[in-house]
Parts: sequence; C-alpha cells; structure tokens
Amino acid sequence: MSPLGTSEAKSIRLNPLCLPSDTGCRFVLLIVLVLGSSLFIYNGLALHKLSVPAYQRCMALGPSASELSNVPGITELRDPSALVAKSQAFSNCVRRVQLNSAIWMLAGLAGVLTATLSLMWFIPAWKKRRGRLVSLSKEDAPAVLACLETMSKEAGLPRLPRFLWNPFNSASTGLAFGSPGEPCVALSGGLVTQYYTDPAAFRAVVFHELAHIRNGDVSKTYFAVATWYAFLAVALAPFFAAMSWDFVSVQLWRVLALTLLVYWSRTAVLRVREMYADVRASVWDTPRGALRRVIHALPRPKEGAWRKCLRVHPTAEERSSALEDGAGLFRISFWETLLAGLAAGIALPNFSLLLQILVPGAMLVGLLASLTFAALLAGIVGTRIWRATLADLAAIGPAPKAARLGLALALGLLLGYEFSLYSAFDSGLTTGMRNPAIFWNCVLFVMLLAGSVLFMRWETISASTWLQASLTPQSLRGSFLGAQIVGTAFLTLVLGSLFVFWQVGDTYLGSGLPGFSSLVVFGLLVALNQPAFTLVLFALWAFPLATCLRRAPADANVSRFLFLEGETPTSAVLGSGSGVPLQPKVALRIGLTGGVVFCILHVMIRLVLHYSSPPGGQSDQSKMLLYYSQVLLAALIQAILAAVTAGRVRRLPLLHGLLAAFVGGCTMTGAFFAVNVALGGGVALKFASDTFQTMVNSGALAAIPLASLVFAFRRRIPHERAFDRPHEAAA
Amino acid sequence: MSVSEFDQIAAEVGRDVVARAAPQELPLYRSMSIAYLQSPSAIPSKSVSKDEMLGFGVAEAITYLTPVALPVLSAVLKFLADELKSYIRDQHLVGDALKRLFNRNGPPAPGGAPNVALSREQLEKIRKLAFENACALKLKSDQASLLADSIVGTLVASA
Repeated sequence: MSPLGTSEAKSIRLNPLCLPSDTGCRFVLLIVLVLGSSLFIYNGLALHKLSVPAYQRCMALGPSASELSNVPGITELRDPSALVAKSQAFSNCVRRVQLNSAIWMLAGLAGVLTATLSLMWFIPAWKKRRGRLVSLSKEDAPAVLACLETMSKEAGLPRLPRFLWNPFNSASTGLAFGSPGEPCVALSGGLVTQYYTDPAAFRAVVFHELAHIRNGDVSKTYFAVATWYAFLAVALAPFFAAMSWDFVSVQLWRVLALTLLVYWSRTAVLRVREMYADVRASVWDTPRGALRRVIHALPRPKEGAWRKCLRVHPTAEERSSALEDGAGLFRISFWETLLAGLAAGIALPNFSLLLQILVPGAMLVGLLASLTFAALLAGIVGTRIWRATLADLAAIGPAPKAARLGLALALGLLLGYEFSLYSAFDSGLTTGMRNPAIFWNCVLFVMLLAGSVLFMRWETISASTWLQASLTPQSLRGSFLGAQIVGTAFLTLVLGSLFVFWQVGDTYLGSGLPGFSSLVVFGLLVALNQPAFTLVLFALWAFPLATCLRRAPADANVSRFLFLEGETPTSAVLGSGSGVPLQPKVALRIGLTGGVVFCILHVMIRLVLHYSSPPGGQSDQSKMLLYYSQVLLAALIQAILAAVTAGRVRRLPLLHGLLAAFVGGCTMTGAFFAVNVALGGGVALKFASDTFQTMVNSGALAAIPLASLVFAFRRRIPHERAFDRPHEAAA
Repeated sequence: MSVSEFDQIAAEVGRDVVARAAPQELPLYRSMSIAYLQSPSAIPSKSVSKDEMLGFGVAEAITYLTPVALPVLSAVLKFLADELKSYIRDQHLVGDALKRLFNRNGPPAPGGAPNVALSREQLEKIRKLAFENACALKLKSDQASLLADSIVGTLVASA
C-alpha cells in the first residue's frame, strides 16, 4: 500500500469536504474581528463621550489624596466609616459609569447586527433589481429549465432553487444568492446560450453555483458582505463623526488597521468559498466535464500582490490548482494562524471588559472569556490542523509545524491585545518599559507560547491518530468534535490561568504591593489540586490513545469517504508509512511497576517514622512535611516512569509516558491511603480527592519535560529517526 | 407605414431569422424583442453586468446577434415596403404582405394580401442592405454575413 504522494495514486484527490471547511473558519474569524472592532470603537465612543467626565465626577466622590495620606495606619484608624462611605460612593459611581459603557458597547453590537441582518434581507431584492433578473420561464427555455431541474437533483439539493436570468447579459456567468429559505441561481443570457453551443461548459458553471448552495455558503457570503457594510456604516462612520480629532489622531492607526483586517477577512471568506464550490462541482461534473477548461479560460488580469490580496475571487491559477490536487485547501499557514490569534487578541480584552461589567467576579469573567475564545481558536486552528494533517498523511502536503504555528498564535494574541482599546489606555507588554510588571508579562508570554505549541502539537497528534482510525464520516465527525472539546478545555486552562495571573500581576506589581512571589507559589499549589486540571491532563493523553480501543477495519479501503473520487484504489490508505502500533500495555506495566516501587519506599518511610515518632504522635508540621515529601517523591517517580516509557515506546512516546505517569499516580495515591489506614489513620473523601489530584497533576507536570528530554535525546540517534512520522514520534 | 410598424413586424418575423442565424439565442428572443419594441436603440449586442463580484467569474462576453437582427430586419422591411408599393394598391395590406414574404406557408391574412415573388436582383439588394446595416451596428463581418444570408434564406425558403 502506498500513500497518495506516489505516482500510482497521483490522480486521487483528498476530500476537503470531509472536515469543516475553511469557509466556516474564515467566516467565524470575520465575525470575531467585527465583534472585537465594534466593541473597540463603541468602548472608545463611550469613553470619549461619557466616561472621562463621569470618572472625574467619581474621583470627586472618593477620599481625596490628602485624606488618604493622613491615615495613620490600618490598625490605628479609630473610625473608618467616613473613608468607607466615600470609597463606597466612588465604587458605586464607577460601576454606574462602567454600566453605561457596557450599554454603549452592547448597543453598538446590536446596531451592527441589526444593520447586517437588514442588509442581508435587502440584498436579494437589490440583486434582482440591479441585475435585471427575471424568472427563467418554460416559455423561454423549456429545455434549459428541465436540465437545471435535473442538475439540482444530481446535486442533491433538498429543494429546487429559483432560477433567474438576465437575458441581456451576454457574459457567460452564474451567481448563487438569496435568503436561506429561498436560494436563487441567476444565469446570464450568455450562459443560457451556452446550453446549446457548449453544454458541458453550461453544466460546469451551473454545478459550481449549485455547489455554493449545497456547501451552505450563500448565507455566509452575504452575511460577510453585509457585515462589512454594516461595520462601515454603524461602527466606523460614528467613530469618525463623533470623536474629536485629538482622540481620532491617537487611535487612527488602530482603527485603520482594524478596518483593513475586517476587509481582508471578508475577502478571504469570499475567495475560499469559490474553491470549495469548484471542488464539489468537479465531483458532479464527471471527468468528461468542462469545469477545468472553463476555469482555465477565465481572464487572468495582471495585478500586484496587494491587489491580489484584496480581490474577492481566487485567480484562475489558484482555482485550477485547487481542482487538480486540492493541496491548497489543506494547508495551514503561519499568517492565517497569526490572524486567528490577532482576532482573538483584539476581541478578548474588549469582550472581557464587557463581561467584567455584566458578570460579577474576576474568576468567572476570566473563565467565560477564556472559554469563549478557546473554543473559537480550537475551532479555527484545530480544523486547519486536522486538514493539514490529513494532507500530510496522504503525502500531498507538509505536516503542520507545531512550534511555528504556536509562535504565530501566541504572537497574534499579543499583537491583538496591543491593537485593542484596552491596551490603548493601559501599559501592556510592548509599552511596558515603564511598567513594573514587564518581567512578569514576559514570563506569561513564554507560558502562552509553550501552551500554544503544546496545543498545536496535541491537535496534530489527535488528528493523525483519529484520521487513521475513523472508518465512517460519522466517526470522523465525532472524533473531530471530541478533539475540539479537549482542545478547548486545554486552551481555556492556558488562557484562563494566564488571564488571572496577568491580572493579579498587573494589580500587585503595578501597585507595588509586597509578597507577589508567595502569592504565585500559593496559586500554583491551589492550581495543582484543581479537578479541571486533572481532567484536562487526563484527556490530553487518553483521547489520542483511545484509538487503540477501536476495532481494526476488516477492509483496508474503508476510509473511502476521505477521497473525492468514488473509485478509490485500495492502494490509497492514509499514513501507511507509519505501521507502528500503539503500546498502552507497555505504559500500563511501567506505570504499575512505578506504583509498586513507590509503595515499597512509602511503607519503609512510614514505618520508620511510625516507630521513631514521640509517644504523643507527630506534630502538624511533621505531618505536613511528610505529606509534601511523599507528593514530591510520587511526582519524581512519575517523571521517571514517563521518561522510561518515552524511551521504550516508539509511537506517541510522550503520551504513553503520561499514561504511565497517570497509572503510577493512581497506584501511588492508593498505596498512600492504604498505608495510612493500616497505620490507624482515616480516609476523608475531600482529602483523598485533593491528594489524588495533587499527586497526579504534579506527576504529569514533572513528566512532560523529562519525557520530552528523553525523546529529544532519542531523536538524535540516527536509526531511531527513521521509524515513525515525525509529529507522531514527537508526541 | 411608420417606423414603429416596421419594428413591430420585424419582431414578429425575426424569430425565424434568429432560428437560422443563431438558434442558441432563441430563448432570449422573447425578452429581446419586447425590449426592442420598447426602445429599439437600447439593447447592446454585448453587455456585461457590473454586479459580478460574487459570481462564477466572468469570461469574455459573447456578441448577440438578436439585438442587431431586429433593427437590420426593420430596415429590410422598409426597403421591401418601398418595393411592394408598385404591386399593392391598398397600402393597408403592405404589412400583411411583408409578413407573408417571411412566412408564405402560414395562413393567409383576412384582407387577402397578395403573394409577391422577389427577383434575384431584389434579393441581392436585400442581402447587401442587411450586411451594410449589420456592419454599421458593429457586428463583425462574418456574423453580419451570416445574418444577411439568414434573412435572404428565410425569404427564399418561404417563397
């Protein structure tokens, strides 16, 4: 069996429609950019028109600087009621101002949405009027109409679209438009005459338009078009109309950059949908069809790179290339990942600001904001990684480069934050030379980078394992969805933790409060016994390794749905170069062995301490010391277990290492409590669960770097490099 | 007869000419003839809608024959009406006679318009007139020739 890259299977094309399309990803990105940019602008408007004078009024309500400087000390203050009352009045006032800002931001969003929906409702009628479109009747072209009905059935459309035409338009073209309930296909007179002169070309163009309807991108397209105009009219115009030049001149570059990003995202949606429609149409069009010829004959105007970037149609070359092997539809680029990060980075602070006003509690705000944007990023970037991995498995495209993509995502998030209005009035990382939190922010960025790279690598591994194990479109959809849920959970954990750390750092370090390092250590200890943390770490290794629980396919050709052509030869099997099985049993064995080793050591330590302790029993401090020393020992053994496993297992060594560490961690927790009971202690449920989480989480955290080091060392040995796919080996 | 009457007859008899010269344009004929009668000089033979941003992509537009065929036919009918004046005393019957020239196999008009046979010289004049008019309307020479031949062919076929 051979992968698709070999000459034998060159004519076989991968099916870009087996996974969610890039049209959807780009569409979501556009929505987020419009959302973030509109929030930015309306927040700016609120700040400029309302908040600045209102905040000044609030300042007058609070305790003055002289009042605060006269306070002798918190313990010596006899009657703080006056200060408390003034502080309360100040907080209430600020809350009211923030609420007003929230109302402005929500009103702005509602305005953009209303304008978008109104335009969407208006566009079909406008298209008909402007295009002088009338119904194509049986009286005019009975044969053409009959052919269109047959083609609609071939395309599998649940309902017949309405066919309109402009007989006076002598170009040969078509257009799919209309509302979701009433899709329309407009044909030019030139195209209708082609039904007689070149029926194959006629079918090719009509199939392309029907493919837009089948792909469900017509509504997305017109939503994208409408939202751009709505953004211009309802967000951008008021910004320039209502703001003073002082404000506009400072924020102009941000607003123009955002506008350009929104425009570019819109054109990106419009461009990519054409290629998906071409690919779908090419399947119906049969090998004898004329789609390639028609596309090849399209005019190829000479234009610069900048114009090319902003055009709404892909070039004829791009379309032809997408039809040939479709490799372009499976690519994930650094810049597109950066844009995804940028969009999230722009919207996240503005969205958090809105949430801070509407939802009580910084933790809840952080969680909600992180969850929203983690889901978004997992959806967009995860989909692209799955597509790129599919192309890699079929040997028609390069494997996704996790480090590069992780860097793009982290940089995008950072740059997006700098674009947002939030940072316009705040000293962030890049403006942070005067900010005492600059070092802390750098540490957080490194953590963000590490989290992003891990996310990218994990998505690649999951895609690689599950794409080879999915036997039906349904199982692929299920595994894809599962991966995005786990990916979202992981990213939520990363973004949420960083968000809280960043806020705490900003507040503490910015205000010069003492004890920040103790706070960080305490925070880490609290994080270690969080059940969410355990669940995410568990899912990270369990999800990809779960493929070994699936039944092996009886027929080697079961993944036919991953290919466009129905007649897929049996030689076309994904990732057939790998051939190395998963070895969860090895990891289990190593994990259990490690658990037994811990058990022996723990029994020995406990017995020594039991018989050497004073008659009154151990002090609380000694008990704490024993507890944390045992947690440390357990973490150390788990790290060694992971390293040994990573050294022995050939496929997905790091994930097998995490499995071994987890099995070891469970055994160690069990042993810890068994010995405790044997020596006369008890097992409180809360304490047991905290201990389990702390042992397993700290073990996993220690296991990741050590197992990675072992793997990196192993990769340096020449004969070890050849056996596996690089990204899977790296896992 | 007024110009609009010639246009009206041109629209009526033009389908046969278009069927010979450009049968693929027959689906467009009804719309084009209606538009022609509303505004005879308004239909361009080559037009591309500017609103194609989201369409398939626009290949080079083809040149329609129908928008040229109708005014050319109208000029031919005017010529034929002048030729028929010497044959037909009752000028009200000229219109019917013209229609009959293009469709002799159809039912005779109630007024009893006479069947007129066109000479070889007249047919040559008609061809020349049609060709020149078509060229004047910026039709390419080969298409103009096709149109002129189709008009003469229709006249001959119904003779």
